[in-house]
Amino acid sequence: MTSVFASGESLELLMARELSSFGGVWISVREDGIVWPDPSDSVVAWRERLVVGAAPVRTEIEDRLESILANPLETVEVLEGIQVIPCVIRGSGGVPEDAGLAVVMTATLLDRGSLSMLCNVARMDETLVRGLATAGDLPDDDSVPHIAPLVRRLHAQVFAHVRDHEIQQSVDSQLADTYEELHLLNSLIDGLVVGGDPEAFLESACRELAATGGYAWVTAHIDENGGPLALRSFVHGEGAPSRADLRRILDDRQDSSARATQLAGYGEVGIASIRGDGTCLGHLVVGGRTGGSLSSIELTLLGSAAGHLSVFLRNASLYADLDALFLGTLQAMVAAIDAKDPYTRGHSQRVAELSRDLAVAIGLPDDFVRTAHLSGLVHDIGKIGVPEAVLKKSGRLDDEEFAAIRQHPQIGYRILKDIPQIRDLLPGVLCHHESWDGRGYPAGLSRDEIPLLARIVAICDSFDAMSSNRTYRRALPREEIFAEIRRCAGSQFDPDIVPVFLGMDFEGYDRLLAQGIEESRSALRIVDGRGEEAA
Amino acid sequence: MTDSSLDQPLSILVADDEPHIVRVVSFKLKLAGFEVLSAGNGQEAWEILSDRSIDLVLTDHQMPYLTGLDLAKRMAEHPRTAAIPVLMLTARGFRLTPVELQGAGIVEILDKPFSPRMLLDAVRRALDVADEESDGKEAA
Repeated sequence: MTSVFASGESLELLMARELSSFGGVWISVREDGIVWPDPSDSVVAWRERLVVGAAPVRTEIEDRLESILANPLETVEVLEGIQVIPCVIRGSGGVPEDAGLAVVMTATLLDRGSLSMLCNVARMDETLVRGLATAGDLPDDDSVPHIAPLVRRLHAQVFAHVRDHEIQQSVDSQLADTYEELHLLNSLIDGLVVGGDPEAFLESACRELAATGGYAWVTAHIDENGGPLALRSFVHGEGAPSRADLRRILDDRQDSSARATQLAGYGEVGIASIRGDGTCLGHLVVGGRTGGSLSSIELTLLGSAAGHLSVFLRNASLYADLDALFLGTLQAMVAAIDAKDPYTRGHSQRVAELSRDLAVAIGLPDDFVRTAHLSGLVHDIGKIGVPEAVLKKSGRLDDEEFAAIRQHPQIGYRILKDIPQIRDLLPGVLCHHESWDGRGYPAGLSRDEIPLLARIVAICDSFDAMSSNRTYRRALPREEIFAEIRRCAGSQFDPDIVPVFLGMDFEGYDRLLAQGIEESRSALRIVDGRGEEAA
Repeated sequence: MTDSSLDQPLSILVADDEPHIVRVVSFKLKLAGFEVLSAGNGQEAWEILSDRSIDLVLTDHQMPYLTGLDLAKRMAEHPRTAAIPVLMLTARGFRLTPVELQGAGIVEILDKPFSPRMLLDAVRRALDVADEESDGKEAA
């Protein structure tokens, strides 16, 4: 739609401009009275100054306003040479939507003494005004009733235009806000990957919210029940309040919607609680907005963001729970082996820690390090299938017993192979007794045929076996163990890994070992005690 | 058109075949004091560029007749338009390779759905104009 009116201008300005072409002045009438043009406004021309500045005209219009508006189709002469055309727009139900007066100066003003009187009270130069008025070609008194319908139609058009423009502006503004929301929610959803890094997600959520909302700072404080991120605080930007400062405005409201409030020292802040399953998991707080105070749009957006954080925190928490359950299950299986063979108590745990440390020392990626740890933990799980008598035998094993022991990698593999989540650990279980020179078991693989994971677990397994008391011998001194491992580099062990292993720090390992020996002793006491009872 | 500013406002050409995008972008840019011209496709944008002086072009990539990338490359080839910075909008997940971008003076690429506020920041960055007037008007 093309419009003759420039967009975004007020009704008053548009009417004043249109009326000036025939000596008219526009005065809006609001519910609370007449809006006189402001004489200090530079846009206001001499006509307005004459009418607004002249008390007699103003007084006359003010006094007769009610009767003028009561007969909106009648033009009224308020002073010789000054006529008023009332313009009233009624909406549905007859409710007035807009009202105003077109004050028209007629040629009569120039003929009579009115002009000098008005110029006098308005403190304007009569000669100048007379000159301007003459040049403006003022209408006759008689023609005013003919002008009136045109003025009313003009008013209706201008009013419709201004209203349409306002609606357009508000629709555009809403659309822009919707885009902001869409963008923010999209970027938050992108981060909602299960198992993704929770810290990175919280940081990016704060950053995105700051950018889309125009905030100087955004902070997320997670409560103690917020899963893996419990009691953590995330801040984007400068000048965010601390958890302690925030406590002053946090209350026990169950209301989850975002709200704006004043926080001493920080000005206006927006706050939304992050809620999950009826409890509060933390708070999302924003402040230092550059674009003015917080509107309901910003608060809605803040609330949506908090909702997404809640989903994320609960997912992260479930994921952590699941992970803990998984690890717990593995540890329960390991405890089952330990229960069978108290001499090797803690062996699995120690091999797990060593394998992890060795993977780190080699410089392997995080997920491999985790796999190495878990693989070390379960490497001997197959011993569950080896007769207890063989495991506990203190004397020399005969061929048959030795064959039984040598079954444990395959047994372990069979136990674990159907759990898809731990498929990665299997090489460490099946191949940790393979030897670099191909003389190991069960498959007799050699060199690079042996998975790296198994080569790592193999060294750690042997090291721990030599470091702890076994049914058949006492623990060896560390120097002797190192010498043995060095001797076996290239025969039993991967020669590239051996130096890395020997360069590791064994402080943590020694602590675990000391703890294990203590536990073994007490476990052996129990076992021995039972043995005596049974006998 | 408006006489609110004595300085000639910087003019921005917005090209997108989706009218609502043009609408949102124009609204934000006008509010920030820029003069906005719009084109419904790349060809139309090129015609406007040929006879108007434009300070920045904001174009969608996927458009009929002439894509945003084609438009940017054509602009780069002509001395009159080569220096005009181009901001490009692309669909979410759509990636242009460095090879494809070669020879086009694109200063920044924004993913749809874009944030109008971030877009305005990008425009100001590209034109190197400070945020003299904040978005206060919107909040009012």
